[in-house]
Amino acid sequence: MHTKTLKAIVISIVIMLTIQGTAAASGPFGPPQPVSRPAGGLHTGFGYWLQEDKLKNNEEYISRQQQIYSELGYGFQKNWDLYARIGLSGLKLFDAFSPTTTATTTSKNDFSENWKFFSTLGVKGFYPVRPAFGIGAFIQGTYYFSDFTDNVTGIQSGAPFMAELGLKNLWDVNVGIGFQATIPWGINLYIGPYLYYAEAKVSPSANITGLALTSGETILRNNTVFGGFAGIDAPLSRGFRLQIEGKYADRLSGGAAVTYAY
Amino acid sequence: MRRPFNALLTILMILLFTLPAYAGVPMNTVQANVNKVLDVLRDPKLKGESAKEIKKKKLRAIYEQMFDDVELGKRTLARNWNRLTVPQRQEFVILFRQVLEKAYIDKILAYTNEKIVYERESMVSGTQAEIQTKIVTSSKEIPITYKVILKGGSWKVYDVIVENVSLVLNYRTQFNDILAKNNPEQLLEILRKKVKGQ
Amino acid sequence: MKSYLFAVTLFCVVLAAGCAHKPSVVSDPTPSAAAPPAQQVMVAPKTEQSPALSPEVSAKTVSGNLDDYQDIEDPDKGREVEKATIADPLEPFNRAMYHFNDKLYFWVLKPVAQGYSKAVPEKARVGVSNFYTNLSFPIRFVNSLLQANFAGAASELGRFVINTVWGIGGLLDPASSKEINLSKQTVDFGQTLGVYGVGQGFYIHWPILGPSSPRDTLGTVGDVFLYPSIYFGPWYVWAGSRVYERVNDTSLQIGDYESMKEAAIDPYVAVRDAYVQYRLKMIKHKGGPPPAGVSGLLEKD
Repeated sequence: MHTKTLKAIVISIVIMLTIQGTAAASGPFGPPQPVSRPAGGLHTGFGYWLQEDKLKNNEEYISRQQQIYSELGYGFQKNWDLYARIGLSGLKLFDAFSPTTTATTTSKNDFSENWKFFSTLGVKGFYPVRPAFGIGAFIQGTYYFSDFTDNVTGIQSGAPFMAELGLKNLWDVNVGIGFQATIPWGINLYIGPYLYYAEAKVSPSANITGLALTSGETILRNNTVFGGFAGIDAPLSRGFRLQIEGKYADRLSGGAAVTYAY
Repeated sequence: MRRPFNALLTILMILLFTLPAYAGVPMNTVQANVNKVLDVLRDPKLKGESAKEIKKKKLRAIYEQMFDDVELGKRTLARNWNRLTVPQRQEFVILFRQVLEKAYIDKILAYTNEKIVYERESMVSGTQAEIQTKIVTSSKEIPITYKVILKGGSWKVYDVIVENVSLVLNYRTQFNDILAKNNPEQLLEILRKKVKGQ
Repeated sequence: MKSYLFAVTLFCVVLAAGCAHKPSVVSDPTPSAAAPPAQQVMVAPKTEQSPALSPEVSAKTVSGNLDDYQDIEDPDKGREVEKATIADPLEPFNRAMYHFNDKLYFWVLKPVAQGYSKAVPEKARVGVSNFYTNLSFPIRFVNSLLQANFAGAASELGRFVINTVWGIGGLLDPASSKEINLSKQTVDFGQTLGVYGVGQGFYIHWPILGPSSPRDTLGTVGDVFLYPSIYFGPWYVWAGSRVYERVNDTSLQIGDYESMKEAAIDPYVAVRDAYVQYRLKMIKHKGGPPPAGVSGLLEKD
């Protein structure tokens, strides 16, 4: 009965992600052990995450996203947790507008836009092996409700131009396992590997020679599929917990959140 | 999840909270009486409609031990007490009790495990004290204060204050108003009708 | 607004059952000292007898000693008494308005609230109530500041942040949980004016809005400007929101008003008096919990 629920949830996440497309920069995975109290507890959280990654089509570009989000989670079936986040994120793509020929000059090098809504959905399960040690698994996906756009102006072979670049349909999905150890004072330390896929569709308004990303509709994908994450989940006073996590795939990402379990 | 330094804090908190409330005789008396009521309400043998009368009887007995009717009567009539003859006063006390019973008994019988917290006891004088308690329901907390007086060796309740509203004062205003336009016998008639009518 | 009503009606949960024996029943002798002294009552002659005791009152039902029934001294003699009274020069108008509100409750508000409570589970309605309470944070915050109650203002700010961020926009109320324990300050502009020394004035019972006074009416008007929904769109959005809030609150309190009416000899006066006491205590305690032994302010004996 319990695997059926899991299957249903996984399927719905996958459906949600494929039909609606877009999500990106997933944010933290959180500790393997659910923050919600087991079997029917609710938890809420608020966090900040800085994500850096490498996206590539033919070239590699470094992306940076800063996001703040609000999280709501529900614990079920003893050690499972279903959680959802809604947040705001910015996106910066370094050197997106760096000209590759000397005939082109641009007003700026980086693509940047802020404050787009995204949502994340995830489910995790935890298996306590010992009182102070356990293993968990999760699947998490993010979807962006709108597209990032940015303009660039410049001169190309003597003629001024303006081009708009859109990064659309951002989404990602992550799956991984975590190992958690509990140390005194109720602090959980966790570490684990994960696999992920992130994608963004590039949509330029015009084709400008010397700006690689404007050559046409292309897809930016993550450069690496494999990464590792580690974090600390520590109790604060009065029912709050502090969560600090870092991830490393191509680049280092990290963030912190404060959660409250009802 | 162990939190040793939080435990220290908790102990300190508990100490701080229990210090002023030297749970003295007044609070113990009120607590004992309320517990007796809860026992009746929770008694598994007294579930169901047929047991209602038995419960009411038992609750009445506890009420008489817990409350001081005459004091209640005197304070609700205040100055007007002197306007009544002694038999009228006696009847008033009885009628008032009946009014209260009619009004509240069903609500009390509908009690479903709300938690009662005894917060503190303060001595107003050698023979008077106030017990502050709280009832915790699913949607809110209701502060309730009992005012007790030492009479004949035992502490009896002579006023109940629910969320800042005193029972005695509330009725006093009503009786004052009525007695400003009616004589005592008419007041008694109003009370008799109320006990019968509803 | 109607919380004091709820309060008045909650005497019930407290009182350990009414007592007295049913009219025509002479019940068993009570454990108290009623029985023997009661005999004396009937025997002792009384010269100026008012009409005989009603048949329902039998000897055994009279409680206490005969001595207890003697004249009392004027309880107010020789000391200051904070009178929890209010002038009521508009009584006929007020009574009419009270009657209107009474009918409004039974004919409109209660049926709507009952239907609503059947459709919506209690947890959701409590959530809505929490949401509106959270929304009225500016009122409590600003008024706490106006009364120089900085601890209270800080508590309110903490409640707002915690309940909004970790309480799903105010639907949940973790700040009131035992762990966090930030208390809600019961303050409003009318109470602020009272703390400044503005007197109640006289009693006004408004249709729909209920009991008030000139000072508290001014307070209500002032607080309207601190209520966020007035700034979001046209006036009817605000009005609709307040109506919904009222229906939701009523759905959580059905039965309270009926109990209060049942318990009162004159419900209009009971409501008025409960209102006066409640406001007086709110001003005395400046929105925080009463310190120990203070409730003697209203009545010292």
